[in-house]
Amino acid sequence: MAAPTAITSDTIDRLATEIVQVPIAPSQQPAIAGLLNALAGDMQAFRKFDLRNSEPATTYTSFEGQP
Amino acid sequence: MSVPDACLTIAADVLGRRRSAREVAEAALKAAGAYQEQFHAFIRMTPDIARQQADEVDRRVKGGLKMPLAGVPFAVKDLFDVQGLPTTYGSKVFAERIATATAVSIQKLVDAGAVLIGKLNLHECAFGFTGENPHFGDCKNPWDPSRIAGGSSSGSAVAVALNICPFTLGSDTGGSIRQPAALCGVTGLKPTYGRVSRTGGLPLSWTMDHVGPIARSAPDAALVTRVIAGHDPADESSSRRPVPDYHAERTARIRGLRVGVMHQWFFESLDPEVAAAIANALQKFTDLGAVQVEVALPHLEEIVGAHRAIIFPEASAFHQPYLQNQSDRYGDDIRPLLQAGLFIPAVHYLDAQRARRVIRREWAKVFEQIDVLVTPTTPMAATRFGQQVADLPGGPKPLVRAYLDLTLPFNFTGHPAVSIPCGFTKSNLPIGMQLVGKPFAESMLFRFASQYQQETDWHRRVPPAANA
Repeated sequence: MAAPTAITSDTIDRLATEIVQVPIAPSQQPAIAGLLNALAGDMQAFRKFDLRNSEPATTYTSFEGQP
Repeated sequence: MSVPDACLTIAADVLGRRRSAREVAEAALKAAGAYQEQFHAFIRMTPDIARQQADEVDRRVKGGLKMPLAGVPFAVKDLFDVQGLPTTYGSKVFAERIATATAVSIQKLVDAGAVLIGKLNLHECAFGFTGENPHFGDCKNPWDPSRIAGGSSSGSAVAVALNICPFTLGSDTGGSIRQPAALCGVTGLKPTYGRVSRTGGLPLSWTMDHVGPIARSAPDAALVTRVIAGHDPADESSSRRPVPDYHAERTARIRGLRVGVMHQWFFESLDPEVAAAIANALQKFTDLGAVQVEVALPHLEEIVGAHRAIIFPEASAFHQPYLQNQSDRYGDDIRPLLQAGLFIPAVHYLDAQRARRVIRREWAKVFEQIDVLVTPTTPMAATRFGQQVADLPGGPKPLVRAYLDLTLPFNFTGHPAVSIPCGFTKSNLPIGMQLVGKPFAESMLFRFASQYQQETDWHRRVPPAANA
């Protein structure tokens, strides 16, 4: 896994416009960038975790399980 | 001014017609009003509902109906719906949202004779652990109003600590019942995921939200849990397992049972006063005949990251429609949290849900060795408003890590966990101990907690303000 590059306000601005499509004011972007960098740090160990061949714990409920 | 009685006492009095439910409700409403300006525990009091429900209880009692919570006043975190009332979620964004139905847990409590006196303050949208709220006022710690009450079920803990009512309802996604319970000196249970219906509660993170009680004592929490637990067809995560009689089972002895302790992670960086209190509590369990076993739960650092990879996108998914056009109405502290979740890759989210399966399997083997795991609920007592970093023996730590690292693993896995008071600092601030059980082993938690509380009086102490 490549070393992460720091997320900036510019990253947020472009992603918000081009992918997420939720308007985010320029004044709100630095806080989001800072938080995402902190989250990336907290997720480092998790991102290296050996998931083997497991499936997600949450999967779509089968028809049998629905009313 | 206060209502010091436990649930059983009040119910017995009301059923025995020594006091009316109406009298009890009026006393609770009066206490709620008296403390509101100083502590901001409530977002809304519900006197009309309380009087109507209390009068109905009194009528049913006269008719000979037995109800386990007859006339017991309670209040709920304001993310649970009550038909006809706003569910503010502690936020301006939801302030005008009127509920069209009552949450399943609340309805069960009312059917059992409990009387709703109000809706309680919380950290906005349940996305925080301090109880600071820019819209409805910061919820203050009853033991020292310059300190946080903990969160996000802040008002739920404060109302019980001040003896306004003997129990409240909260929700817990990373520690939001246990944290404020610990910091305010009361008892709070996060049941097993699926044990208590989530229907009628606004979500923070669908796959990690848990509904549970905060009470003054473990027996009271057991009584309330018995009422609110059970299958709900409207909640797809709801379990069909039968609900035990937690209150009756709490008295079984703990001699010979195994108490797990994990010094790594849970005891690594504790305030010395917290460390001493937990050591004394462990000794108490040994004195009662329990056997201490050192265990090692794997992957705790991985869980912190995986918890982030789930809670942020799930919260953002729920709030996304509101972020589109009213993001300015959220408080400055939670807006970036809700926006940040929009940028977590779906692959991270799915990997976190995959990790959940792997880790649950590995933890099951560890829990085979023990009956309960004992940890501190928080590494230090309540911090002051505005404090961002915990100064702990292991070095400074961001508060979010210091407070939540000890509680959020059990939201990720879904194990039941209860926080009970186990001491006080020299500054007279409560210290909490967390007991964690096997899935659906709430009875075992109540057994340990009740017997500990029989031997100690920490849970009986009330803040100076409640004695005034």
